[in-house]
Amino acid sequence: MRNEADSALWNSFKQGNWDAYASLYNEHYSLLNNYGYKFTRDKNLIEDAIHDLFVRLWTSRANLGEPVSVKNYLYKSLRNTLIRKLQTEVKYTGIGTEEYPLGFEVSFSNDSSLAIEEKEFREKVKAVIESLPARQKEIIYLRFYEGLSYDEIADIMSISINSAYKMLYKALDNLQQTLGTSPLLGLLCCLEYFL
Amino acid sequence: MNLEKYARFTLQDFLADDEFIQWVINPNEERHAFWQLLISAHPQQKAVIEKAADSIRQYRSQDEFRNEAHKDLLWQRIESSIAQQPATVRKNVFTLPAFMRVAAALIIVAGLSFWLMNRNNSPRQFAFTTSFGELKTITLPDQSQVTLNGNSSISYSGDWKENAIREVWIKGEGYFNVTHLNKDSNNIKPGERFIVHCGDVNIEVLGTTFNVKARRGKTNVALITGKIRIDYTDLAAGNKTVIMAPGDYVEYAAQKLLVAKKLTKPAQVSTWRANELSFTDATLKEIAETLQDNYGYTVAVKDSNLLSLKIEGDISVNSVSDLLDVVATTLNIKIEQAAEKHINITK
Repeated sequence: MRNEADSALWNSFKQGNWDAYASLYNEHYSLLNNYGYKFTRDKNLIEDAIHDLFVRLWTSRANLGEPVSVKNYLYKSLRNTLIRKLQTEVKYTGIGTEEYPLGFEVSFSNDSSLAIEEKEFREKVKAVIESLPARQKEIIYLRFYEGLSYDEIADIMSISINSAYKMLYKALDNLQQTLGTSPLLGLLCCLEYFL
Repeated sequence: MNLEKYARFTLQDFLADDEFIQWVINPNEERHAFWQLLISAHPQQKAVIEKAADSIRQYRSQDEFRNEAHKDLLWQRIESSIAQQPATVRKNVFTLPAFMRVAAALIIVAGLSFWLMNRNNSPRQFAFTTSFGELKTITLPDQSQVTLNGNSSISYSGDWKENAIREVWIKGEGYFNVTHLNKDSNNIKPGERFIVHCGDVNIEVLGTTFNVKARRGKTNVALITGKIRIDYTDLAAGNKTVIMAPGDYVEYAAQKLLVAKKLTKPAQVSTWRANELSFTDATLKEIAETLQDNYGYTVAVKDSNLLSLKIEGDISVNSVSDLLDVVATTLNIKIEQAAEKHINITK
């Protein structure tokens, strides 16, 4: 539903409708900020990237295609713009390092209203996530936060569906090891089943 | 959906399953009914399912960055950027016969070139030049300082806007003390970059002091403090980059990096700033070149073998006449001042 409304907006924006263009901005502004914030804590850089992205959208609107999902298209474009900006920086400062220029960080605030048990569990989830490499963190985000499918993730991250799948499995492997049901608990469940 | 498919699913399998994630993220009655059914059919999976769902929910409780405070500001920025873009011409508004289109295009080109040639709103150019033997210290718009050695020049364009890269062009020799604007080295904004163009070598700095010299087709750079990056074109290898650390010295000529070494006394490369003439292990040739380049002397040497004579150790004097005395005595040669700025060197 969301997608259809987006597509209608998109088409009218492509025809030069300024209000539609403004709506695209208003609708995606906070999501794009939130996504960008995972790559860098530099708010100015994120704003610069969103600025560049939207100016480019308007000036090249006549040549744009019709993306299946407008949101995914914007995510992908923001990601590319940010990577380019971050890479220029790495090239300059990170002398000699050819590393993947992106980090990907999610943060959790302390919610004191949680029960101890739940808090512990959250800490565990948090710890596993933090231990993952950036790209796995990003896949987890697109998967569990944005609820995207493998091919959507592959498209946004410009990787093959197969490697998106593999990478997610690697990340989940880590989750399983930390959170996996203990053998004792499994046994209890089975007993319950037989009773 | 197939209930049996999920009978042996592990935590990992659930977390990789599209249907499962959709149920947790966007629950609706239909999805809820299915998963309840699954749990009653396979109660041994109940704990795993709950754990998987809870993992996703916990993960999704992460902080959000919405940046609402800047939403309108950024939109204004986008609007004004677009307003500055050249307007796009609508297609098929009207059509002209072919010859008129050509004529119109010519008129536009003519008008545009007229405007380009006559506009005076381009940023003002600043240029400073020193004559032979003259030193000049220039404060750039960002408060960085450059001291020019004799017979050198520097130029830059306009008032440096806050977000623009700082760029200067230098000929001859200069000593730079660049104001450090960058606060976060992981995030360098364009306005924090400073580029010195020197012949076909570009020197990029953040905040540092260094000496650049471009004479006789050779460019050399000595870094005193800070860190700089040099981009140059190598004849064989194409575009190359050298990162310099304090005390490093490089020399580049004819599209090749000729020397890259550590200076034992880096500060000495810029003693000229105090009107001091200093050399270390210099040949007569180097000394003669310095007199020509910085002071405008003409030097005539009878026997070119003399040029390779070397004075071991340091020389540091305050005037050309002192220098000539030292050289003549040390090398045991005759230096005759034939005219005000002309000397003859003989055995």
